[in-house]
Amino acid sequence: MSLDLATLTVGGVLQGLKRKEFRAAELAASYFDRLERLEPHLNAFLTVTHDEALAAANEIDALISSGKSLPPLAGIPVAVKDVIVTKGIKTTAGAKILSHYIPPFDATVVSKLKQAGAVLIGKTNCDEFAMGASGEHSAFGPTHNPWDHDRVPGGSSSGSATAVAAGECLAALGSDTGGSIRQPAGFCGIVGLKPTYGRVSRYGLIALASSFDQIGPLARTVEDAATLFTAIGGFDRFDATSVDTPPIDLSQLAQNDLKGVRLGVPKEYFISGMDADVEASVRNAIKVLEELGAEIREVSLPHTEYAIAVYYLILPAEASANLARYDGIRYGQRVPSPTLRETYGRSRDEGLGPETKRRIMLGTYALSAGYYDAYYLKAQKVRTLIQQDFTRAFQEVDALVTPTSPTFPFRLGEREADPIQMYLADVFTAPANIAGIPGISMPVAWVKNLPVGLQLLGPHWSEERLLTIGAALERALHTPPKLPPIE
Amino acid sequence: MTVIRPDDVRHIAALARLSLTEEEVGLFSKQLSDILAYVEKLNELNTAAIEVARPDVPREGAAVGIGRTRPDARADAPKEVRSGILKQAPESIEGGIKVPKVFSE
Repeated sequence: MSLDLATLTVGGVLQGLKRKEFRAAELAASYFDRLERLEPHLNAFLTVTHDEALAAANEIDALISSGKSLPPLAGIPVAVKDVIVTKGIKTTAGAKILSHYIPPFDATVVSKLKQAGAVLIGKTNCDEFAMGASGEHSAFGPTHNPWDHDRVPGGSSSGSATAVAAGECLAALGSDTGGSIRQPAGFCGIVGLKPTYGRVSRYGLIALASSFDQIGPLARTVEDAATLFTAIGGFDRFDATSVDTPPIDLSQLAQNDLKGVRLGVPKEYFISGMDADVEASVRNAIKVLEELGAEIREVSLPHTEYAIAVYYLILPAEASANLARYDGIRYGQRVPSPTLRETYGRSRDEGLGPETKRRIMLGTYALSAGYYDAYYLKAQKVRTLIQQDFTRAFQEVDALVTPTSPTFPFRLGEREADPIQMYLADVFTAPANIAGIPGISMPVAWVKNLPVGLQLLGPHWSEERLLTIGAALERALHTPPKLPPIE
Repeated sequence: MTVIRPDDVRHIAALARLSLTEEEVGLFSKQLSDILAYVEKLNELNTAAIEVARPDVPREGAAVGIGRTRPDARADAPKEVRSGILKQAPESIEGGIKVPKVFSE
């Protein structure tokens, strides 16, 4: 059996299994082997689920032997970000306060992965409660960028992005509240999709900001991201914000002709202070899109510069409410204390990290009496202006093309001292969460062995179009897929 | 420009049920002040005429489940979920979670 994990895809696995070129158990073993050798350098996983993976793989192998038809993700080794609950499997949200928490239920997306025949490799590291853009705010140590161990992989889905890029799994689930799928996908050189708000159930996602959060796939190709998205999306009666939408047509992704597609390049996303190589790589990819037949137009999203301010008022406000439940009472670590108040205070003080505390306090302040109008309500109003920017742009163009990040992956520790510097890492990704629109990041270039990510943004429910454009661009660029070497 | 003084930090921490150390109070006083200074750029915009987009109003192109209800009937959790929940309690007694006294003497 010769498996090239660098070029393997979901489709390739299904084909290989059907042709009996390898068994699902052997495939899982190949990934575990890589994982064991890479993890001391990467720290992408918090929990590795050998037994569960083997059981699932054996079930798939039994299905194949019996000649029955295979479900859409049969035998696919996937990892799940540790903010998504898995029944009977420790789920920590990257936080000390939940370091021993074992959920009694599966998130809807996890149930769907299981039904689709996926093989769970493990739970991945992330910034605590998904608050971060580098992976450095995990209570369990940072994840390292697989292409340069001194650099960050991005966040908050740091472990999921690293695991897919490093070949520790074939695909992964992450969550995206201000860019937490797209930005690490960009920093790790893989594909990440944030669906339209409401398209994937949030039931079982440990909530950060309920009006921004979405679960989405991280994968090695656009088509794989599309396949995973199809498997996990859809209406769920356990998520009151989930919406009934038809599945996308995966056959559309085979198109190479983008004639008639109007792509907008927002001038506010090409700012001074951006890395020159990042800008050049993205502009080059835009030229390739033009060669495929797309019409390129400059557009303006004039309120872009206010997006981070909006985001860092609304998010902390919602997070302060969502994180009130971590109080040492029903689950998680409790610091036994003489009074109830002290139990809350000390359990939270010891169990929550500094970024989490910062945001809880900011949110508490922004929502408190006398300050609500000036801060929270004001931010919600500017949110409307940002949404209107997109609505206006999408009257002229079908999708927007932007860099995913203004910089290459930065070094570990580089942005620790100044929270605002870290917040600015989300400058190109947060607007999509503010407006609820979908976005994809895909790798378009490598410079000195570091990846450059390009982002596509579209109107609500336009994932099919974004994936079609992305797949065509991916084929046109034909960058050879690679894996970092095992030292 | 709003400054968050250490006393403000202590007040907010009390509201948020966080017991901070004095060192944390000092650090957060500076950091929260810096963050507020940054977000106050929103005051550059005149939003008097904006009505906040409401989450319960349907977005174009999708059927949002407004008013989607279920019968007001009791639905007990399965036994294994119930026991799974109780297993996660820091302290439990006889099918319940043991908690500090809510009302003090």
